[in-house]
Amino acid sequence: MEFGLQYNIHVTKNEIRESGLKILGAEYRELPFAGSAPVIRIGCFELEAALLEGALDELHMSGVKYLVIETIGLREAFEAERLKRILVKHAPILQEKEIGVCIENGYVVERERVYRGVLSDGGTLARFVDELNEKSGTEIFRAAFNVGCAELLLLRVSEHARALGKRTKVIYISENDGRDDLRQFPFTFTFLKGAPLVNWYRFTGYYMRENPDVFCIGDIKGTFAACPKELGRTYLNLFAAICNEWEYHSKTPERLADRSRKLILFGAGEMLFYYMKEWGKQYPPAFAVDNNSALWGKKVHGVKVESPEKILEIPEEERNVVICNLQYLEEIKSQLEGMGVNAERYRRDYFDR
Amino acid sequence: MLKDTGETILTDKRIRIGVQTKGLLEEDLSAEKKNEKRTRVKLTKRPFQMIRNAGFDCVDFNLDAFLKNNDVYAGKVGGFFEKSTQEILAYFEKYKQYLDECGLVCSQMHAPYPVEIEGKKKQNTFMKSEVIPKCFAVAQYLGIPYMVIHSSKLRDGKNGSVEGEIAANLDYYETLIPFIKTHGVKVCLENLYGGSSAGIIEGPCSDPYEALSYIETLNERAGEECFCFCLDSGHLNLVKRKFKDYTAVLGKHIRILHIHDNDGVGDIHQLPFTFRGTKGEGYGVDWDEYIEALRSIDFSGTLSFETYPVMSSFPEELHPAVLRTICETGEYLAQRITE
Repeated sequence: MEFGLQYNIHVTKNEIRESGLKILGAEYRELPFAGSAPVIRIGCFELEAALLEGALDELHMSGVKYLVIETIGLREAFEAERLKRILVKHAPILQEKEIGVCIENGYVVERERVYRGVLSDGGTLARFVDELNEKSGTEIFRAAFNVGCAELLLLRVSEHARALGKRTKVIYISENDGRDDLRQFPFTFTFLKGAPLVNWYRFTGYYMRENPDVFCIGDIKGTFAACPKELGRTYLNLFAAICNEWEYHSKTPERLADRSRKLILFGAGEMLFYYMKEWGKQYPPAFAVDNNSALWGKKVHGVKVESPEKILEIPEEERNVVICNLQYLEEIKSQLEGMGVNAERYRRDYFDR
Repeated sequence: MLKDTGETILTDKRIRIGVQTKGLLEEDLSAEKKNEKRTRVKLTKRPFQMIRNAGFDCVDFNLDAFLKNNDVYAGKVGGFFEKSTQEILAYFEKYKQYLDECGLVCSQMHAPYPVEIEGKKKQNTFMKSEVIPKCFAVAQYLGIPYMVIHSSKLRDGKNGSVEGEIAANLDYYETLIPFIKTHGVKVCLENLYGGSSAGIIEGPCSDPYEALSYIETLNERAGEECFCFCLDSGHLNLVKRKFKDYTAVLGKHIRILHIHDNDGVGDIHQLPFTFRGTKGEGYGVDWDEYIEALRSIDFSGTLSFETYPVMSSFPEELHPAVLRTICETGEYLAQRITE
């Protein structure tokens, strides 16, 4: 998974760079200002005119890899059919220029209220993408999943993401209040007591495990428009921290798959049960360790449990220690640091199904 | 005699930045009953250090985390506050040590609430005669100058009325005057809201004139300033009031703050600036207006963030980054308020 930001005029490219974030996406009209971005988005109603004006050459020259077609306002089936015809007609040249096309889920606004459009649901969008590939005789058409658009329509984002499956190439991250497409920061729209409206663990975890070949783009220009200029860097840094965290966990399957080293899990509690449920068959641990001496020598959830000292019997280059306990994460990290042991961490929230 | 400002610790004029302890110092002792299993995480210095490392000067000490409002509504008020005052103070020795070691000051405290629920006489007596007096003792022990005690919401009860609610709250607050004077801890009323999860309606002190009337009446009865006000940004946003209307009426009575944002619908206590869009749409707090309002009263207390749900919504691994964001937001607000 590649993580980054949608370009927006409220923060400078320099500020974005300094935060460690990459500009992965931009709107077509902002292309001259955004510099190089692999993903460019254009509104479905602007598309035809842009194509006539040589947009594909421009995109090709700019090194664009994917053109996302925004479908906000696409309300009638005949409009979708018209879009399909335009895209099929241009498929050969798109293929020649090696530009993939991702169709994005959208919504429509009528009398200041938001409704579903013809391509709002994951299932409908999946069929549309399949038909494009079938009719064009290519495989250049993919999907872009916009979490904010789905949230606006009160869709269960993870289920719609699953309906799109591996068709998805681009994910746009944003949140809103269910009334306006605010393009706001993730994790802040919650139920009371802080439970997020979007289950970000489940959503990103699905891609981490099933479809890691995606661009994950923070489309949060609302945050930068709403916050004072002086706080732009602050929110960039926070989003960069989120991206770093997601990137770390997205590499979990890769870390577990390292068969050149012995996998040792620290923690023989509840998380070990869930680890074994999700990964036990694929990546069984050599053994687990736990500070509870009553468990030493016993099998827990089918895994032999040893004293933490046992880790030191395995040479450093041959061991792959993964902390499997969140409640005492910091304490375990300190303990392992004191033993001179490097360890990774596992978070079940991303991978439980 | 209480000091004029109630500030017993913070002596310079710099605006301080604080954050509430709830959500960070995880000790769920709220329903410590024999047959009730609750997570109880050992208190360590780490969260205090994390708060300090993020740049905060102060904390808002949430004693209401030791007796949660859900438990009060459910009639479970025992547990932690059944301990003697001496036991409770001994319990907080470690807190005091960690706060001191990390250079953090408690700018304010939040008491458990509500102290009165219609028809729960025995529980109300326990809240008033055990819980709140012990809160005063803890506040004094930790050197906390202000304690928020919510006004009870009695207007919507079976026999409720706004007048009856105000009379009952005034009578109760008056009984606190000896505690306030003995412990040197002033009580702050707060702008609240009423209603339920189905919808929000104005509640106690939503109206600034009602709040002013409370404070003036009570201070007159006390013969000195014993009562002040805590302005809650999120609650005010929910009842669609302007900050400047509030500060114009309450003025210098506003001594402490609860800073947080929401979507205009739910009291979700979230990060400022995250509820509006590119064209100003959305129903979040108008922070420019907030700044103007605090500037108009020359506010020089602590900018204290009441954003505990943020700690649940963001992954734990991001807490240091989230706290840094909150603190930098506070620094920005402080700069704007004083410029």
